[in-house]
Amino acid sequence: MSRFFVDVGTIARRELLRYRRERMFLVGQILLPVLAVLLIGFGLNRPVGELGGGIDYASFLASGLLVLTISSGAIGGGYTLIQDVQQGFLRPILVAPVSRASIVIGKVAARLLLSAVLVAALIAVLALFTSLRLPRPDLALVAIGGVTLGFVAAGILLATYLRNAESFRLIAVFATLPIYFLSGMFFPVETMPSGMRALALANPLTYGVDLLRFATTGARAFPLWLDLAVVAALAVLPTALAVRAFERRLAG
Amino acid sequence: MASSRARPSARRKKASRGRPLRGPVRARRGGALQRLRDRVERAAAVALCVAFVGGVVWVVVSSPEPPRDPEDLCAVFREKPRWHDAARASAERWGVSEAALLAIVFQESSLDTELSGRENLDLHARLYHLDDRAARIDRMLDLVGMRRDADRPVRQLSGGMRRRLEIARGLAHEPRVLFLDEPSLGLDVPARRALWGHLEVLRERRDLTLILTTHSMDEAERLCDQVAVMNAGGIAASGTPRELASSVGGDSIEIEFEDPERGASLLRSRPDVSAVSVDGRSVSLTVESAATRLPELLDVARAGGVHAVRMREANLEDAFLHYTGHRIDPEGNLD
Repeated sequence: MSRFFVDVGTIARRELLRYRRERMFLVGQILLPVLAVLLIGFGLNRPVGELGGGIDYASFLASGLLVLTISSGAIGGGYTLIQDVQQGFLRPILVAPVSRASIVIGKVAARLLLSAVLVAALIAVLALFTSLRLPRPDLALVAIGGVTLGFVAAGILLATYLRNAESFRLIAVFATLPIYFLSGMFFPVETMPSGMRALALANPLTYGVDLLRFATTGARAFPLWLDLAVVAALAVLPTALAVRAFERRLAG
Repeated sequence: MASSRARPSARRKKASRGRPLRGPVRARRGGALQRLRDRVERAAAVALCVAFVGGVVWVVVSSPEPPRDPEDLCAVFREKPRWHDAARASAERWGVSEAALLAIVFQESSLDTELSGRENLDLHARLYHLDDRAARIDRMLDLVGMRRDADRPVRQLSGGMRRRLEIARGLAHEPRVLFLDEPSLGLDVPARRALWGHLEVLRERRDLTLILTTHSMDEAERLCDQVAVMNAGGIAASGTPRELASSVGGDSIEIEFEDPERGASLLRSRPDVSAVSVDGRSVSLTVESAATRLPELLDVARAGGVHAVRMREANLEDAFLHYTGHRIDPEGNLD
């Protein structure tokens, strides 16, 4: 068992080494939300006024963009697993005395760590000019974990069907666009038109956004138990599907 | 997984073990459905068994003990068509019980191109839970002459350098058996020569068996102790390169004489000489192991007045063509 964790650590280490080569990309992932909050958040602060839970729009948007950052990163992270299969990188690993589960879990662990670091860095910067803080770090970790797992899994699932990088990127953007906009990331769910709101309520990411917003601003739209339940489901269900798809992909 | 397909024992029994040369083994033709299933099973790893179909030469280099009988290895690959399954199965069959005691260098690069060579090796050393990693990695890098470029990202390296890194990686856990799937494919001449040099060094190590597939007769002739010519899923012939080459007819010698008729009649009197023919002033003949016989033959035929001698040793390519019925173009590809 300890061997298993060492292997998970080894795979995670390789992922982090790869990310180290993409330093500029990571800097961009922090700068982009900060710019958006500065330019859009403060631009709309006055026209929008105070939102539910007593926070201003800049803080509302800032907490939503935390989720956008980790979920878009995670979906790409899932894709890299399939890339590894395609580029043959996994083949010698499959010969090595290493379990397949440790490969997947190592990859996810690296992504979880990266998500946590990104959120921490973003909060540190955004706290300078919004009311974003970290009153509930425990719930923040749950939200980060659930959203990251769910989107890594979504990336793996999507990549099992779309094998080239271009179509993956295109479809990933188109498929996630409505999910993001209908999640309460950019504007509140409560004030959406009823049809739109129904879609938002059916969107599991809505509850992830709500949970992380509660953890960072204290404002929330749904009961805590509902947020937690949906986020747990978001972590488990896609992951189960993705593991099955990945096993099939390796077998074929 | 293909574990349910256990049919190869019948053929293995037919092929008598240990004898160097065998007649062609006919391929078993499965139905279209079976072939399709095979394809699906193999899709994840382009394997030796896929190469079998094309009539690839399959080479055992420097064998301390494991794969005496190439047919044995083929049988393993028929049961387990995917490289990694087959490798584990053959390790068991040869009593190299730990899967950790073998390694595969795949035809396509399987390095992480974003990491450096050293980081790639380190990753694998960690996955094999090896101790003393840094020193071990340096040793392996030296072995393939890659110490200097070890810290460059793999994506900046040439094909030959990558192949050498993969060999270093494969050797890091000190395997007893190293599989190489067409190691020199796609390399230019200097890179191939460098690779061969390193493989020749490895070949001298008595604790390591190298098994490689190749389309290149040069490679087979230069590197191998044992060669098996594969055709249509079976072994068409096997033996040392020399045995194989001479099994399809001896070496040919062409001697130019002052008096060709006299020369020819003197040579015809020798029992080890065959197919003597006269064409103008030159006499051609066939003999086994020309290099050792030639001085003696020239002595015998001296009365004919020898002007010039040309000699062409039977080579592996002749044997390959003979046993497979295939042709190979100048670039080493099969028709």
